[in-house]
Amino acid sequence: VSFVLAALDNSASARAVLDAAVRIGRLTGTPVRAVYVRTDPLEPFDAVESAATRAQVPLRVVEGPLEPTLIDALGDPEVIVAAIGAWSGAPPTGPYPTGHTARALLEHADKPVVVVPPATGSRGVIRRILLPLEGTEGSSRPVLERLLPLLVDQVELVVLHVFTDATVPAMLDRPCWTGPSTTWTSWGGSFSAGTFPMRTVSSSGRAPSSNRLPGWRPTSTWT
Amino acid sequence: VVAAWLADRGITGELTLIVGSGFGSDGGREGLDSPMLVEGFLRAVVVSVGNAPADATDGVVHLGGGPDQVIALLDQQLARRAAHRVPHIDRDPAWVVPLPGDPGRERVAEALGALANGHSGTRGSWEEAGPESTPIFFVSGVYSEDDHRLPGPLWTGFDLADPALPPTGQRVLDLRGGTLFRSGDDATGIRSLRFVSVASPQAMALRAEGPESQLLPGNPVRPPANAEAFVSEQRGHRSGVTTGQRGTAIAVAARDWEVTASGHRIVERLATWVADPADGARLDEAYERLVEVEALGFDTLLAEHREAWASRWADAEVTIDGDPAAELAARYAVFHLLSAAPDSGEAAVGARGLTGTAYAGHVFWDADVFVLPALAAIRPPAARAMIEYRLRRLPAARAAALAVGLRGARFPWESGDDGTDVTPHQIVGPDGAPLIVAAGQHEEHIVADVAWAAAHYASWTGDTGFLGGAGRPLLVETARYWASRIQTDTDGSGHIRSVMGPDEYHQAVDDNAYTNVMARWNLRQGAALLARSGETDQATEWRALAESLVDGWDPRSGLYEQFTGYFDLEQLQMSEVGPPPIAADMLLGAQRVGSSQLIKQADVLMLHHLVPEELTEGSLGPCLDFYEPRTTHGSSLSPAISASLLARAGEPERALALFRLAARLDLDDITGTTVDGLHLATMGGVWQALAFGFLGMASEQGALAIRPSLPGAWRALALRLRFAGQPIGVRAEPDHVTVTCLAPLLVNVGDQGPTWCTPGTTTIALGSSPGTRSHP
Repeated sequence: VSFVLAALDNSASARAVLDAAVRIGRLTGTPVRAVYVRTDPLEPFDAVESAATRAQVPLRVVEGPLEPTLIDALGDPEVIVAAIGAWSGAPPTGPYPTGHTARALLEHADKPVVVVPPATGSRGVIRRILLPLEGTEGSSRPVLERLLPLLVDQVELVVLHVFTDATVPAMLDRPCWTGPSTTWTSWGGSFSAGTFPMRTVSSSGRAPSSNRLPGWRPTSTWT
Repeated sequence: VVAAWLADRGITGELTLIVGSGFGSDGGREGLDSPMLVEGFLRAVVVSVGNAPADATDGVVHLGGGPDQVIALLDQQLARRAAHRVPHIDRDPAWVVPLPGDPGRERVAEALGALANGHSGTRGSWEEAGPESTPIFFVSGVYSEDDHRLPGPLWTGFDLADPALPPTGQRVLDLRGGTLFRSGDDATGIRSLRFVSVASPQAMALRAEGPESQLLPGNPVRPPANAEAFVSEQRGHRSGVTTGQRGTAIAVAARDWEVTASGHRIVERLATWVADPADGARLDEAYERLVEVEALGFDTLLAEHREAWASRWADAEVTIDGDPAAELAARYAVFHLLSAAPDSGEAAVGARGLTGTAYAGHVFWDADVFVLPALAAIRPPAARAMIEYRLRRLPAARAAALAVGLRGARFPWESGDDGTDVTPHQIVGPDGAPLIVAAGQHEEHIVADVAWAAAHYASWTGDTGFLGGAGRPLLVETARYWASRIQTDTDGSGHIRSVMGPDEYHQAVDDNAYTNVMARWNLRQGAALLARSGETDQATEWRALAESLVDGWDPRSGLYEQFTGYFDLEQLQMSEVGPPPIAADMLLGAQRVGSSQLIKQADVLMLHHLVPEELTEGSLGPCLDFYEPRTTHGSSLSPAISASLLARAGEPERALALFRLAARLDLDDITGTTVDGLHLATMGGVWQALAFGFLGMASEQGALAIRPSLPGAWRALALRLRFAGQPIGVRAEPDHVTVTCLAPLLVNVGDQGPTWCTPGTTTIALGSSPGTRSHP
């Protein structure tokens, strides 16, 4: 049975990760299972156990080195998405807002991994996902092939594309200041169509419901 | 002779089988059958049935077997035909365009592979169209009640036993034969060939073959994605679907035949459509037409279709010796231009033709100024049908003028079915706030553009009676509009205020040179027609008004100012922004661009392209030097026109770079918007750059002016076209021009003065090296 993997540690972020995993589970229509890697046999894990019990999520405790064991757990073919805390203890310094464990998981993942900051509170059902896309096939294909097929609940996908000097379009036949959405209807719709080759993509939001894919609500936002 | 006879019927290259027994050399002498290997059969399949392998030579397949082998080969071909196998195409690299196979570019591929015959268009989607596909069928001029072109029922769909399997094979657009061919492995793949008949405009056909376990034809006609209203029904072996409501509906009827043998399935599908905005779409009629199409059958339809395309190319072929990539891209453009408009009735040629949904199929100046000049030369009846579209919407244009307190006819910036303005007036921006769309209100130059198209058609085709007859209102009523639109100041100068020129970076400007000079030209043309009919007072008044119009000419700089105050704007050039093309309004913001001298596309220079006789002689060079560095080419309409002008100005190498950009615009999806349809105006611009730029052709007082300006990489440029009612060929090489005609033709080559070309082929030496003359 496919499931969402919640990778927990013995910190306050465990609750946030569990909460995020449960909400992802609703989105994907799959159960959640938690894993805790115990690196020290004497290490207590009462807080983890308690958090999992409260969330009604089965917990598996595995002993071994932290990162390889988590990567191994992620490799279970039944895991469709993983959630992990961004860091434990003090927030990381330096360029990355994630700790080394989360980064190791991201670097080895061949499936979606959701990194959850510890302070994330419960916000109910996920209704909107922001998709920053640069427009290349390499960046959009994993989203298309690995993420979207998992979504079974109604969700709004907000595509965000940021132009830079290097990526600004070569040509826009309609003058953009007279009507971004007419421009976007043409260019933006084409961008999303090329980036997300799905029949229901629309930047106008007018696609009739009869042809929507599960989990797909066509809305595009451009900036 | 045989090769030419076959080519006239669209049978070329690999579609020809030559069988002989003596192709090899015999003691230094050519084999007896070698004379068959003429240039016209260069790519034919050649088989030797002679007894010795030496009877074959390079490119000849030795089978041996003598006469019995000949019979066997012919039997094989007859068996293929009897089994309804998918026909081959001639995969001549100069005439075929492989479509991208990457799923991420599927929507680009299906736009690139669209087939149309002017009446209807079908995108080149995979038959088993997966979620990445957007198969579309359009009928020209059929719009829904919200003025969007109505998607019709789909006729190319198949099912696969395993829908999760990705499409296999490669699709190839055959420009010469007008077919879309899907190649696939003989044993396991799916192969198909489809066409939208140009010989029988309401017939469409598809034949496919593949493993019986995989290829399931399913329903031959299906409602389009997102269809809001459709009716589907079955009558015996035939199926029909109608989309739309009341007067705006499209009905398609189709029928499949299946042959299954040895685990292999062959499906043959014939389809027809009915759509009459005035009379609705009756499925009964579609079924009746289907019976007629069935009587012809796939093979006859295909033969007639190929022959019809061969006939089209006879008046439209492009040859660029020394640059096969440019040649193929140019042929690709011409293919879609020929596909865009019907030969009769009226042609509502939308900005993306019949290949996609962009701009809802609305008709812009793209049709009049970019597409029509090409069709006037390569398909005059189609150009006439485009003019008919404007003629039939004169009442709406008159009403539009009246509605704003003016006279004459004001054609709208965007139009659909009834000719009213369908430009969006206000839209909701990303932040939810309303935004005004200015183009519909301010781009009034389309009024003169429509008139120019009618005049150009008459001049190029030699249809001298047209302007005094059916076409007269297009010039007179548009002139009447300008006469009521122009404001005369106390000093007697005429002005047109608050307009937008082709450069859409600057809106609501006063005295835009393009608008004013086109209006002046329009008034003079209208006055000439009035004078011919004895309305001399009005004609005199219009001429005086034309004379009074300011046009931005600045004799000190030798430039036309694009609009009042333009020279005072920030002197920003593209060298400070980035290499064109760039959508500068997006990069820098509308306000910054609007306060600078950056322009989106040719504006003043568009006058040099359309009405050079209205401008001061010698102004092209200075205007190019000034405006081209300020041009972002942020419009798909831009590069081809600049290429044309640069070639005319004697800068063919700079012209070639922009020509390549325009010619590859869709093939390389340079704008990122090809998914929504092909840029037909760019394609018209590509042909114009070849004809009016690199060949320097122009219609001048009944003579054909030819002033070639070829880039160094081109050994020769040749166009076939029609001029003054007859088919001609013009071929330019660095030192001479060759003209082929059927009747006496007056030409002026390289400004050497008028010369009559007698029927046949005439070669005229170029007096000076091409590309060095000055032009107005």
